[in-house]
This record gives sequence, C-alpha cells and structure tokens, in this order.
Amino acid sequence: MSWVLQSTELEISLEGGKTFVFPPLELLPGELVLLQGNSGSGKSTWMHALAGLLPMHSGHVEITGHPIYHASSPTPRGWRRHALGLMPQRAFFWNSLSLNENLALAAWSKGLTAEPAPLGRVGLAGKEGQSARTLSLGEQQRVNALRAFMGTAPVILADEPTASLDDMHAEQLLHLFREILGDRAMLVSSHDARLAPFVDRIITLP
Amino acid sequence: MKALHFAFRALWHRKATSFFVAVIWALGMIGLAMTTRLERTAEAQLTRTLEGTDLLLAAKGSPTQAILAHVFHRDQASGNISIAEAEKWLSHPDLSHVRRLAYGDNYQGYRILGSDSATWNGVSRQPILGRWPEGALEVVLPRSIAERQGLALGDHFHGSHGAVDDLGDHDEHHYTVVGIVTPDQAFWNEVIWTSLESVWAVHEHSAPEYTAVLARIESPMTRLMLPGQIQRQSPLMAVSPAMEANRMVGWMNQGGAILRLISWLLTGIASLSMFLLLQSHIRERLGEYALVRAMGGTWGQIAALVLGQNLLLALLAFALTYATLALAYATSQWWLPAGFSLYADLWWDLQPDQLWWVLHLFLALFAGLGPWVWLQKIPLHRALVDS
Repeated sequence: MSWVLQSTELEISLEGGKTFVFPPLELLPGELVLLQGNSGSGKSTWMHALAGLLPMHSGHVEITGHPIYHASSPTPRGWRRHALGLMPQRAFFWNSLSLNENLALAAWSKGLTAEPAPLGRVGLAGKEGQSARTLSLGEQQRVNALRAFMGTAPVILADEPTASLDDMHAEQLLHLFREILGDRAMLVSSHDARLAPFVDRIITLP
Repeated sequence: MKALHFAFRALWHRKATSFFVAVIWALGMIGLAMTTRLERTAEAQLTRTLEGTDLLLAAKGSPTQAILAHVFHRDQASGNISIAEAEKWLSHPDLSHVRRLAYGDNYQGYRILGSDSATWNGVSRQPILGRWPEGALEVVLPRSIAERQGLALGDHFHGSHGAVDDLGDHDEHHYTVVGIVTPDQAFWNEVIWTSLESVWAVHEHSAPEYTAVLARIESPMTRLMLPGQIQRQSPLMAVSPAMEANRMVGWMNQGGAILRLISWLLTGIASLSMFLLLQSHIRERLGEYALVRAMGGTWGQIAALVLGQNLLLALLAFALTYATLALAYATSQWWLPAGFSLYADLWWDLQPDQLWWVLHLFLALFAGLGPWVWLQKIPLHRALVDS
C-alpha cells in the first residue's frame, strides 16, 4: 500500500537552542497512528513541523498529491489548506460565533465552498446556534474533530485530543476518529495510554 | 462578505467598547461635518441675503452692527439719519433697487419695520394672504408671529415704544393686520412690516427720518468708490456689505479652523483607540487567529478579518455622523439663533465631505495595519501551544 504522508528525518531547532531530530515517518491510507512520549519529548513540535508550522533545519515532508515541503523553504502556498487537517490541543473556538459559524469560518479559512458537515455527524444536532462555551470539553473536541476533517485533506494531525477528557469521552472520540477516517491517515499525539487499544500503530518518542 | 460577517460578530461580542470607539470616531466626523456646514450656511446666508445690496447708509457706528441691524434685523440701530442727507446721495445714477427703512416700535418684542414696497417686493416668500400695506397703520405679519400671537387678518393691536417691550405703549395708535406672509429667509420671521408713513405717524412729534437705506450699485467702479466718498463728504456711515461680509466670513473661518483642529484631534484619539482595541482583542484571541492561519487562511483573509473590524467601526461612525446631521437639521429651529435657517441644498451636499471620508477610511485601515502585520509575523507553533 502506498503512503499518503512521507517524511524524511526532520531536524528542528526551537528558540532557546533546544534541537530535535525526528525519525523518518510514513502514514498509510486509513491508518490511525498514535505518537506517544512524555511531556517535553517533542510530540507537538514534530506534529507542527509536519504541518509546516515550524521552520525545519533539514528534511522534507511530502503528502501525496501535494507539493513537497522542504526545509529552509516556506511552506508551499495553500499547502495546509488542502493537504492537512489540524486538530490543535485547545479547540480555539471563536466565542463571538456560534458553532455553525465556527465551522463556516474554518471552511472559509480552508477556501472550501461546500457547506460544512452537519453537527449531527458528531452527535450534536440542535446545538448549531450555540456558543462553544456551552459545550462540555468532550463535545468541543468532537466539533474540533469535525473541523479538522473538513475538506478532502488526506492527512489529519491531532495534538493531545484526549488530554482533558474522561475515559468515556476519550473512548467516544477515538470511535469517532475511526468512524470518519475513511482513506485518510491520522497521526494522534498523546501521552495518554488509554488510546493504545484503539490505534493501528504506535510510535514512541524517547 | 463572510469576512465582514465574522468581523461584525467579533465587534458585536465586545459591543460596548466597539460602540464607544465608534462614538469617539463619530464625534470627530460630526465636528468636521458640522463646522463645514455651518460655515457654508453662514456664508451662503450672508451672500444670498446681501445679494443686490452694495450700499448701506446708516448712522455712524459699527459697520457689522449696521449689517446685523438693517439687513438681518438682529441688532439695534445706532440711530437715525436725515432724509434730506440720504436722498442727496440716493439720486446717484448708478443706484437702483433702493430700499428705505425706518424703525418703529415693537409688538411683544417683535420689531415693527417701516419700509417701502421695494423692500417687501424683494422678500422671497410664499404667496401673501391678504395684501401689503396701502395706508398708514396697516401691517403685514409673518405667519410665525401671527400664529404665536393669535392674530389674523383684520385684527388690531398697538405697539410699544422702542425696540423692546417695556418703554411704554402707544395706546392711541392701533395697527391693523392686512396681510400674512411666509418668508423663505428665517430672519424675516422676526419682523412686522408696515409702511414708512406708519412709523412717522406714530412718532408724529419727531421729524420723519430714515433708520437706514439699502441700495444696489450697478457700476463696479461706483461700488468701489461711492461708499468712501459718502463717508468722507457726509455725516452718514456708508457700508459696503460685501466687504463687511468678507471680513465676517474671515472671522468665522478662523473659528472654524479651531473647531476643525479639535475634530482632527478627536479623530486621532479615535484612531489610537481603534488600534488599541484591535490589538488587545487580537492578543486576547491569539490562538483563534493563529488557527485561522494554521488552517490555511491567507494574508488577504486575515486582512479582511482584522481590517474588516475597523472598516465596520468606521462605517458605524459614518452612520452615527449622518444620523446626527439629520437630527441637527430636523431640530435646527430649536438650536439655531433666531432669524437663521439652514439650507437643505448645502446641508445635504456631500461633496465637501468626500475628502474626510477618504482620510477617515484610510486612518481606520491604517489603525488595523499594525495588528494585521503583527499577526502575520507571530510564530504559529508558539501561538497554538502557548495561547
């Protein structure tokens, strides 16, 4: 099976002089991969490097069907719009907007013209006009997931999606990922051991 | 349009501070708009009223007071002038449209103005109800005085001595209302017309005198020379209203310049407030903006979100400004000095506003430029992790 994301060894230097070297990575279609490691091991840094949010010293990232992102060159124009779906640890909803409007803002940011998927898809039908503040953390992460899966990006990167969730909500979220994943590949960073039974593969950072 | 919707919702979320900034912004614009309009109105009122009046003969005194008293009927006369002396100059061949005035008494504080048919024929007005005076002690009232005093055609009243109401009555002389008019120019609403003969009849123990004479001078050269000649060769004061009007406009413009400066200072404060409001909002919601960029939002989209907020605030300020102007226009009768009126064509002429529209829009966008560029420079990784 051919990969949807392939990355060479990536070298990243953060402010303050801390340097990370991440191993080569391949993600396959339909694959749900858990990136494990202790706090400070560089999970978020690796995810952000893969997403082009951090400048790299060396290496490159390729997502099938999209331009290659090389170290020391800017992220290809419009790359994140179409190649990646991002699910940051904090959902960062606009409190000034309703849930539906937050989804519309995400679609607009990604340059999508199609209507966003309905909230009913993540079990939140009827809450479209509400503010995200009225939702529980588990519900917020479901909307966060719906936003990340918007469009046709072949790769989804989720940073600590279960960090603040109890067991039941964490399990629900993992089931949701599996349900809407389809042919995409998903890399989930977490130090949460509860996720292990639900994923296809585990990568552990030292 | 979507960007403006999101920008609007962001403003609505902090509506009190947004409205406050728009109000400060509007205050600057209202200052500019009102100053321009009032200057133009005053200038037009002077120009339109003084049109056809190139010479004013009156008793020696202040030229400005003479214009206010005898053209706008808003001040006291400095005295009367001899009919013989005035007529000597009025025979000049270049003079036309000569209007002779004699101040009479007052009725309930309204001046009874003795004048000739040349004066009332020159009053721009709606068709008269009744007729102009044909005999002594006949008067024509402006509709406003008639309504306020409850007077109708055929009613009688007697005046009080002098220009104010408390110097004794002329009980033996009863005026009869023979006409009611609606003048176009507001200052005529404060005057009761009668004939010169009426005024002289009421003051039968004094020799007939004029209070002032107004005239048009046909020749430009005479317009320049004659007032000076009269000043030098007679006891009369000869005023060239056009020149005096230019001086008055000059004073008004100086006052206007100070008001404009204050308005621009307010605009500067509003611009700074707009910048601070936007900057603090973005710092507070940094993660949200960073995510828009992280999801693929372009420079243009971020600009639309950020600058759109300032643009909407500026538009709100524009709306507040023109709503205030409309309110000011509708209520002008309560706040304008009596005898003055606004001209709709000048008040709603937006052409002079266009320069400050552009400058205000530019300032609003400029106030958003810093936050927008800053937002483009922030490291997304840090913003998403640390916010």
